[in-house]
Amino acid sequence: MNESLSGLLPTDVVRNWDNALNTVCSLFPASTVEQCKQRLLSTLTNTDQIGENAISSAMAALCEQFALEVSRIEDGHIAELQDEMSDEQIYALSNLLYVMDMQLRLDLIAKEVL
Amino acid sequence: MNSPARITVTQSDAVNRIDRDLATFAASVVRMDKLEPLVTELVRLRCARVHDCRLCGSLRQRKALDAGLDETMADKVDHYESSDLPDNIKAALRLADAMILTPGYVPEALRSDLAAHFTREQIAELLMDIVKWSQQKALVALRTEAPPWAATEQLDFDENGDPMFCGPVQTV
Repeated sequence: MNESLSGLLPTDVVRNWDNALNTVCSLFPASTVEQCKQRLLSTLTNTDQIGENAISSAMAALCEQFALEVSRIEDGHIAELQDEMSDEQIYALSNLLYVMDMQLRLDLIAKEVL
Repeated sequence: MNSPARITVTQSDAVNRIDRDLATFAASVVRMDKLEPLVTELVRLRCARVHDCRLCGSLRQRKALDAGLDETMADKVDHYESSDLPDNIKAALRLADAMILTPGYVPEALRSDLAAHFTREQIAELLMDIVKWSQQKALVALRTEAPPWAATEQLDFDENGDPMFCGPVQTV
């Protein structure tokens, strides 16, 4: 977490956020986490920063729509993922996208407003 | 929208660890108390409406109701810029929008706008409120956020910061 932000927060909030982030990320290979992060960041900043493709097209599409407008994710997005993952894994993936999406947003915003 | 859940979530070690650690984080954010209840609640409702979270949209925080929140005020979050909401609430909602809609482009005036109404600690709390209230994104993506009630329900928190659902909101 951005130091200018973490220094203004109770220590338990910072610790609990880092803990949740680490828990969810630990459920996936590091390459998947990194690729999802890059997909989210390129969508949030409208830039093309995608390197090696370590995730499926279904996962990449979910990353992009999650960052762009989560309510417009369609049944088909999730059905496509169900061909390659269990429901438990999809649940974990959705939470992975949540914590990484929010961490990226915090990094982008905190330095501008604090 | 009345979308059914897209997956079936069953208890497992991984699911329990995710739920436990996110709930622990959420409770610690709820325990922060530097913001007025109406500011916190209207930011929560803005997140709910933008993300189309049916569960969060069906809740009203008891502390905000006690502070004067009603449905007329709640509806104003959809068009807050042209509303008569107080300037501090508009500034908080602008921060919410920057975070959830345009994180890659932060309006230049936002920093001074926020500084006119909030301390740095309060701005930090607002940011973490937005993170906490946006946990709904993980549920909306899977459409597992349908509320179990038809009416609008009161939301409160215990001393640990864990949520309590306290029955329907009484309308006059």
